[in-house]
Amino acid sequence: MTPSAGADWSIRRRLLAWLLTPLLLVCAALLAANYVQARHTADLTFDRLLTASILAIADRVTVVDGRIEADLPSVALEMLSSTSQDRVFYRIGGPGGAFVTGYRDLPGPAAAVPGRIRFDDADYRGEPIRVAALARPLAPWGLEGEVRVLLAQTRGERDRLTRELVLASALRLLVVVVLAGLITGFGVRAGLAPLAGLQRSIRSRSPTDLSPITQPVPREVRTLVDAINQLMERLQASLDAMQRFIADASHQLRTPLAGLQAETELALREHDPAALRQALARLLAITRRTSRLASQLLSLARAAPQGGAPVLAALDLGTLAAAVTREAVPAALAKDIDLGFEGGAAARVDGDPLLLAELLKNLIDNALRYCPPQARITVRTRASEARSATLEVEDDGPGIAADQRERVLERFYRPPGTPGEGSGLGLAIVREIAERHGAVLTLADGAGGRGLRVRLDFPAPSGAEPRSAPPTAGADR
Amino acid sequence: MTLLVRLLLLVGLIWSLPPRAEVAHFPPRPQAFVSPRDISLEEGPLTIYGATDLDFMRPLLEAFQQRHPLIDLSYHQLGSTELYERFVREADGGAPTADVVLSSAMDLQIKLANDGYAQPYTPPAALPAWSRWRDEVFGFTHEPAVIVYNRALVPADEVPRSRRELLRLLEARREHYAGRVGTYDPERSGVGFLFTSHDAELSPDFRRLAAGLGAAEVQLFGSSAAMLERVADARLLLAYNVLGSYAQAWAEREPAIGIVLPRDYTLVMTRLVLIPRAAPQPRLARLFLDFLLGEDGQRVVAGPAHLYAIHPGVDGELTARRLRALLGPALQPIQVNPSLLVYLDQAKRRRFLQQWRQALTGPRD
Repeated sequence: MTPSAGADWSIRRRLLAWLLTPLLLVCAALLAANYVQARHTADLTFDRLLTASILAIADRVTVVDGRIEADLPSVALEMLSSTSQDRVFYRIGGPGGAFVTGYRDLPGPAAAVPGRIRFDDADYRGEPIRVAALARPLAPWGLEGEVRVLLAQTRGERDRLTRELVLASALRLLVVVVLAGLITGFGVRAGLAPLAGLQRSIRSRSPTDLSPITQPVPREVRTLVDAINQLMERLQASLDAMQRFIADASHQLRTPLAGLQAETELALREHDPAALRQALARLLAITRRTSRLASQLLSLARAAPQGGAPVLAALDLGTLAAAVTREAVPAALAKDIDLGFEGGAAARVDGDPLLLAELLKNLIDNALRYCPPQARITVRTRASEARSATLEVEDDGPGIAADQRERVLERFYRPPGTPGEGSGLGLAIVREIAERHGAVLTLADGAGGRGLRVRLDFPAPSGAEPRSAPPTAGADR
Repeated sequence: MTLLVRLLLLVGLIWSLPPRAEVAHFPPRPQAFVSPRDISLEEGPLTIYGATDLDFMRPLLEAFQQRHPLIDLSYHQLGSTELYERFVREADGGAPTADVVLSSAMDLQIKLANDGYAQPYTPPAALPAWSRWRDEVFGFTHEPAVIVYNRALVPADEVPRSRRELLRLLEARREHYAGRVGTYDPERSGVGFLFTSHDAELSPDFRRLAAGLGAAEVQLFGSSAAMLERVADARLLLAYNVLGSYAQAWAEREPAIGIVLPRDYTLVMTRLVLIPRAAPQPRLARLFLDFLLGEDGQRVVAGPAHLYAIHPGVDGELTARRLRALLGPALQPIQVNPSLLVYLDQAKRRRFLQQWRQALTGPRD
């Protein structure tokens, strides 16, 4: 009955088992001890009668003409039988085991010390008996040796007294066990009442209520409630972020869709094929922008922590960056921008290849978008000592003013006076993905104080094994 | 017990009781079915060993058979020692033996129970505590030890009502009573020994009484009947410690016999009955004890059997109830317990008889 056997046992059952099992064992031990004690008490009580009887008999043993004679006092046997219904046996023997009178084959303690009464348990005529033995020297009558008196009675009354005593103590113990069971039952119920209250208050909450649990709870449950509160806090934050994101996204999508609608209405009114064509071209541009916005929103949703845990696997940042850069080369060529890649030693990181590629695409895209022709964009990866790998995208374009560098990382924020039709999501996506990888994102001036250098320091990989997202990812949001 | 004790008892028995064993057979009587009373259908042989005269037992046995007409009843009348020895021999040897053993030799019956020969039995009514032991031995009679006198020859104002009065009478009218007083010879009679030894324990005047009896040239007898016969025909004037049941039976036939229950104390002996562990028909034996110890049987005990009923619920002349009302605390029943065993001890017995003889022939004043 080890409570560890049932991991799904209720706390009440555990407590009852842990409290009542030892109690029952203790009671059983007490009962056994009581039995021994009761038997001892019964023997003590009835042995006194045997003592009085055997002394009365021994006092009446005399020697007449060299022969041992016993004038058995009837009161000696009456003493034994008046209080009990037990059989009585006696034997009087002389020196050298000679038989004088009584029951010739009555067993008794082997050698009694003269003057001292010895008691022993034995079996006689198929019944357990208690035998007292007393030896008296025959010297007063001028004889050698000693007379040995055995007096026995069956154990009936002793056993009855023992049973009575044990039964009484068993009844008392039973009362104790029953009371302890009841008290334990009520105590456990009272002790677990706060949990039931907690359960009720959680159950009665509305599904949207994620406020912390504030009701007072016992110390033992405090940590559990704190953990729940933290979870709810994070859940609330996630939910808030999601709602903000949905609001932002729908707001951002409404603008190009309104443009699309206006442009389409305009085009419908156009009769001139050339003008119609122009309108269609504008429509296409708007559609492209909208489509890009949608895909950016999608990648942002994927990067967001509530979008499901990413599988981080060991990968070489250099190889990945080189591939992404290569893909962007045609777009760079089209804008007459010099896009270069500098890869050092293998830069190993734990990461999601799709998200990392998205990150780098956004950085290159940003640089291409805001840099004038003939600008230089350099993608750089290297393995450093403090951080295992670093990814840098540096350009010599207009850069971002130092006081705007925090804010450009927010969604949909575009520094005032920014040209072009950006959605303001690119760097927000970068930040989101960087956070998911535990990487440190730094925005700085480019070489020679011109342009922008975006730097990502990745933490050291945990090894070849894949691992779950670092606990700090998103926690500081 | 030692061989010597057995011999002594046997010798006593030969003197004190009818010298031969009798068997009374009560065959089944199926015709008794015509009786309208509720009749038991129990059948089978039931063997009883008894040390009580068949004359006393016959009414009981017949009344029992009237209720159980299909039981084949045999009553073996034996001397008390003969009964004991025969029963122990049969029980130890595994031979068929009695289903019920009843005897006035209380000590021997107690010894049978103490030595494990009896089986437990639950009696039908609340018998007095002193009359039963271990739920194995039960007294079924309540017989006082009485003083019997010849009404014609002992004047009413001389009739002794207590031992002290008896002693005074013997001292005052020694010549008149010399050689005409009788009592039990404890050496020859078990019942006599029982009464005399209990007198020795109970009476502070025992030695004087014995000396008084000795001075009156007391005659010693082996049976109550012998004393009653002599009181009836005036060979004796007075007999001390006569079995009340026998005296009552005689008194009904012989108007000369007067009975006194000593007022200082009246010894009461009871005949003990037990069911042997080796009883072949324990069920029938229990039926018999149910009857014997129940009110129906006890009425027969008090009535035609002349044995004094012990059952507290039975009223009548010969009942414990009447004796208690008459004598109250002066009733001294001989307790049914193992203290009776001491008188089976040879040394004890020899010593007691020696003292008794010395007291009888003791210094006369």
